Amino acid sequence: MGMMIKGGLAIFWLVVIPAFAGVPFLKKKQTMSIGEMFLAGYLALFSIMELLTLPMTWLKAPLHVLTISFGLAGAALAVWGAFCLAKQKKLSPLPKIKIHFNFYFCLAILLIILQVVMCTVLAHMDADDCFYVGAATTDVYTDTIFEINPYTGREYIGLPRRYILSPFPVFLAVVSQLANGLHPAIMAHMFFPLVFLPGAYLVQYMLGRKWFGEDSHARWIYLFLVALLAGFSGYSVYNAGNFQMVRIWQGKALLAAAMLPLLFYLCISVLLEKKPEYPWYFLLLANISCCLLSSMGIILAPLMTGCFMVICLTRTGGWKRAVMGGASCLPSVFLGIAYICF
Amino acid sequence: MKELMEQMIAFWNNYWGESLIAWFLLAAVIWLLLFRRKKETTKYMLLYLAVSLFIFFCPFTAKIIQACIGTTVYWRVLWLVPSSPVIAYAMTEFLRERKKLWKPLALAACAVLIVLGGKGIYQAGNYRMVRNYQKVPEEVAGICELVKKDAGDSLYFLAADNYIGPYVRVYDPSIHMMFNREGRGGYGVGPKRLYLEINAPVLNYLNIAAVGKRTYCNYLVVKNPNMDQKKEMERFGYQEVGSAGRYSLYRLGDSADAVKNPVLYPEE
Repeated sequence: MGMMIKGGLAIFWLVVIPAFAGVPFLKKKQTMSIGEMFLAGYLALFSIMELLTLPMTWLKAPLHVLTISFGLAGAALAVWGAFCLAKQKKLSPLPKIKIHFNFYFCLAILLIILQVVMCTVLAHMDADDCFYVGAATTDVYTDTIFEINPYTGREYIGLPRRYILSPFPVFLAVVSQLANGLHPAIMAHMFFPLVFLPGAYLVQYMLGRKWFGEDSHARWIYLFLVALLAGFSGYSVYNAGNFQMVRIWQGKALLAAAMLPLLFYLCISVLLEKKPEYPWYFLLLANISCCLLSSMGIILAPLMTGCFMVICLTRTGGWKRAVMGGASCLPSVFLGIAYICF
Repeated sequence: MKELMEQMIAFWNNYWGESLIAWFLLAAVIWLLLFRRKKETTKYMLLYLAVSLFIFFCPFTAKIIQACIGTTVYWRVLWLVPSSPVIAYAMTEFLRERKKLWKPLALAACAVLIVLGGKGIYQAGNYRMVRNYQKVPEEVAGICELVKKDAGDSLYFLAADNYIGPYVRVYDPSIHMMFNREGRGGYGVGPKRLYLEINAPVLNYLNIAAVGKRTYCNYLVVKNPNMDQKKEMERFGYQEVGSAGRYSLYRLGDSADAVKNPVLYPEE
């Protein structure tokens, strides 16, 4: 029973709160889908997590202070989102879900469900967990943030500068605490794949929708093929598909599987389209979120944004947009300098 | 320069392994250039692909990026290359044109290509069944439960090899480790020596117990010893607590805090 309650709370904080927290950022859009709400919510929550964790690590604040702060910020954003939704839709329920059932839809969904079941029910042993999950279990056990070495349980001799700028393990610790003290290893190995793997495919679905528009057959065929490519990415341990399928609970894997494709989608939407689908600060939030996930995100996110800025300048000559793109990279640049210099 | 290029090519080859996916990417690009070059999506997609590949292979940008992130993980820059979306996009564009009956057949052909060109995640041995919710090896869960039951609230150090060690604190963060994966976190000569002994290709139980005792390591997790090896462990005061699968747990002295490690008990 206790496990059921913890599981329910985990889903509440990983699915319900992000979905509502995304609404305020989309309220100016004429239409919004649940998928967009969910992804926008994660961009906001990851950014809040990064902005809260960095000073609290520096100030050696206990984990419970961060948990309460993040919980309050997330809940406040979600309540505001629910209020916006109710006001905008005149108290009607959630945005309508338009799903065109067809053979290709069934094929794609079946493959994704199979993959989610495999990742959630079975176990993959990854020695990197001794830091990424170990840091979360350690922080929860000691009520500290990056003060105790997860390898041994003793105090750090020197701060792990590579990791403190990208504190995704702290996000794991905080969400575990919010789920009534669910063991971080259970959260990472069961609930994160359950939420983040469909999340990664949601990003791909959005790309498919952008590229194939109203052709629902093509959209689902695209999603099926992407899922199949990920499912058959066991040819090396380096490719993004493999990271997605075997260790999506680690920040770098989530970066490769979902956040970089999401940034790709946002760069197209914000920098290349005639009428930007989203405001420019979505790029800013995506860049900060990439910083939270991994130290690789600190450099890869501005690199990707930079590539699109070049394309934007050469194809549309949109200086204003390119400047906005550049501005969205400033947090990454700042953290990158901190990473190299200190 | 030549060395750098060779390194990048090695990264590229390792990234794709023995799969055909890189060739599928090339085929997708050629198909898009031939049949979809006028489409706006194709234009920016291929332009981005070219820019990201240029960043990866250009020695100048590679030098700068490697100075920031290090040489060993430079292959992660390939995560910027949207290989799966480009391949799936080209295949979908190809399939869109097929007539009603041919579409599922052509999709099946594409799926077969991917299956044969790649390697299944499950088939690559990535997943297995375990009974604990934390999803750590059963032997780790068994050892951790044994330690918890035996030590109670005492403070103690535990040492284990590279198979058990990385997951111990994932399962139970109250356990202090002498060192962790690949000896990480183990400071000083003693823990480093113990790490080497406990991970040696042929285990010398006498050496393990001797170094364990010298470094005040309260618990040792070793591969199940035979009768002679058990006696070697006992010679240095290690007593068997129990076993889990292929591993046995040994305690130094009669209780977890019979020997107090000065790191955990600095005042004594």
